[in-house]
Amino acid sequence: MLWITIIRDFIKILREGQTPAQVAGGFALGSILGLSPMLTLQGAVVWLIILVLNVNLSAALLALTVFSLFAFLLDPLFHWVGYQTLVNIDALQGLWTTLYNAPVAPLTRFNNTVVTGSFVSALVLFVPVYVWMKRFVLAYRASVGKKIEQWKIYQVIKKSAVVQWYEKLRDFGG
Amino acid sequence: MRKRFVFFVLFPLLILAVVLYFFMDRWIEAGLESAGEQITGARVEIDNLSLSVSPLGITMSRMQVANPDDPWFNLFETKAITFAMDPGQLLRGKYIIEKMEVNDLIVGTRRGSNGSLPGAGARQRAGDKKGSFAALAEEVLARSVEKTPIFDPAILRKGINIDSLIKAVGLQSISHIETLKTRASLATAQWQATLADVQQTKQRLVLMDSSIRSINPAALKDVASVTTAIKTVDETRKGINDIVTTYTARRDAITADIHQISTAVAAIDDIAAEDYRKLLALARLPDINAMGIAEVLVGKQLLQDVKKYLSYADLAREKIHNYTTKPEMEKPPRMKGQDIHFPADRAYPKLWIKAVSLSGGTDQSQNPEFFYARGQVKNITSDQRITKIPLTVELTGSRGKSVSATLAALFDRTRNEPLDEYKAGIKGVPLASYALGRADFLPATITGATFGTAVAVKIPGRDFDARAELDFRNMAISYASAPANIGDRLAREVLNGVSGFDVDLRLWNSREGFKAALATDLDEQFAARLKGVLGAELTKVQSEIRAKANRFISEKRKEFEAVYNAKRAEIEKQLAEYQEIVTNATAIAEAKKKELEERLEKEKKGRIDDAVKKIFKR
Repeated sequence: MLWITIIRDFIKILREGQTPAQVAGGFALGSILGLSPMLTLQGAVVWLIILVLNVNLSAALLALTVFSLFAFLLDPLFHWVGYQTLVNIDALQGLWTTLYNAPVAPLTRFNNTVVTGSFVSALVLFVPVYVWMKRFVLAYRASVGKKIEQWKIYQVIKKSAVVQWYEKLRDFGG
Repeated sequence: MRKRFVFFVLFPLLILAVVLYFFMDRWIEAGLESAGEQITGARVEIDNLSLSVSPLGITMSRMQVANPDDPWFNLFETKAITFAMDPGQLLRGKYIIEKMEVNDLIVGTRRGSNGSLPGAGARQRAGDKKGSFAALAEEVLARSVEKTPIFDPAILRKGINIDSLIKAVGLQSISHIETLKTRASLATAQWQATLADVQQTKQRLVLMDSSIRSINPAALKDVASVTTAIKTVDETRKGINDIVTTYTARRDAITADIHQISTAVAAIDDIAAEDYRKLLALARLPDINAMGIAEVLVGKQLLQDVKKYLSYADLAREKIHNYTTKPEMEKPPRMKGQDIHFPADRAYPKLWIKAVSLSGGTDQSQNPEFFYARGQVKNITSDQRITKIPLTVELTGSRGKSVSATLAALFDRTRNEPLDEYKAGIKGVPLASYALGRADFLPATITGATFGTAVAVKIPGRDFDARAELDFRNMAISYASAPANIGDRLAREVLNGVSGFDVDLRLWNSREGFKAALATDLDEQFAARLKGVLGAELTKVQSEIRAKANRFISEKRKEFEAVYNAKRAEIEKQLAEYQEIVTNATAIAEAKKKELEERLEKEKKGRIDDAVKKIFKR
């Protein structure tokens, strides 16, 4: 049910409230979390950035969910990208060796093929995702939004008791 | 920036700190278990790990490490362990332990649960894998034991079909003769082509010879005609020399062919001798002088022991990994990825236990004859290329006052080629019962003996060299049945005269494959007794085999030599004829030139005399 409230909140924010840049920023940062394995130092840093910057949390959570599915499907590709980055790019060997022997850096688990492959892919996708999302929010507010608000599913979500409860909790946080 | 930063950031951080405080122990425990499982390939379980912050140290109440080859048993388990960790390296995600005291270590305890790792499936034991040292040694020892010689003269007389043996061996000398036939046939065809060329030059040579012979120096009346004749002879000589050079090259080629084929023909005798040896081996006829009873006496039991202990060497070779600079791309489970490790000077591996002081032994609950050992294991690490120090084990043990044992091992993975070395010794082991011989030969049991052994094994790369000395003392032998044949009886006579014996075993890997040699100090006695009984009979059978094989080879050799020698004689005859012509032509040209030069001198002198006479007349 939490995800229903997130989607509902997200749609509401698409329509009004935070700026398109905040929504797109939250979504793009969430995509990094979704594509990369969670229990890493860089994952914690991205979470911190999301919490510190005034980006949209619902967009970040939605992106995390959606991109986690993609991450599962694209795992072999991430493994390949990570392997090539860690093993076959000779110019980076010095950097990896330094990081490998530096304190704290191993907590990023950068020497794992999937961690590095997915993180590199997420960084590459970050700008396109941000730009695309920003354009989508603008388009939504201009025309698409009104059509979606007429869907029955949207009406159901909007009147849900869980959603009401979530909104109270969210407002308490400021 | 968010308005309520404290709520969004500091509060979660506080919660994180609390979570860390409560769960850090479990995370380190899981990390150590995971690192240990990577090394052993089986479940590593640590109970009640607790972390102390200052100084940074760990205490655990129990650790058990499952045997990857037998996951319902532990390789070992320990009671309480305390050790200090390097805090700087822990921040780098590395477990560096300076010294660990492990007391009350118990080897081979039964587990309450399966110790194999999830997803490992049915695991093939390291020693059972194709190409493992245990598998190779088992194969070669089994072959050696199976090849036990026949001792019974009756079997010698009845049981050998020489024709079948010759077919089975596939005599190399016959193949060699067939190859020679083909080679000789090709060579003679080549010789014929060469001779055809030589015949053409022969005509030229005859013409040159005639033209030189036709010059009559006496008929030449002036200096000019003599000079012209000398010039003609010189040119003819040059032509003859050209022909001689070409002929010599061809003759040398033919002579080299003849020499090579003759050498190959001479080798038939050596190959036939080797064939004969193979026939004897296939007939399982014993070479009495070099014959031992080691294989039949202790081979079967030793086979089991060697397989068991070499499987530990295979396990060590498999589990103590070599570091590779460019790891192969693996196919890890989804979302797991592959860890790539980077070497660096002064870096630390994921796990490095610099020294472990051990004391403990076998499981007293399973075996009342408890074996106690103590010693040190140094430099247990997940990557020796980083530590640059091999793993070493030094243990001494005892059981009661009579049995003592030592074990020293070295596992070097610091270079590209792995090196394993083991030195082990045990003395005074009482043998309640030890099986000797086989069901069909010398079925016996040693009772009440004491046993000792010294083993040295060196395994550099895929090479292998193991030597073991086993000694049996104070033994009493009981036989399961009456002697089956004369060999059995003689072996019993030898054994009844001694109270102990020594066995030397060597297993090694050579270019020809894995090899085993097994001998006892009873072999000479046994051979002497056997020689007296079997010598005459054996010599007779050996002679029969040799005669038949020789007859067979001689027939084929005669066939070849009849054809080849005829062709060789023919070519040699033709070459000799041609050589004669060449020699004559050369000699005649030389003589004619000399004659002409003398004539020229004479003519010149005559002219000078005439000129002087004319001057004086004036």
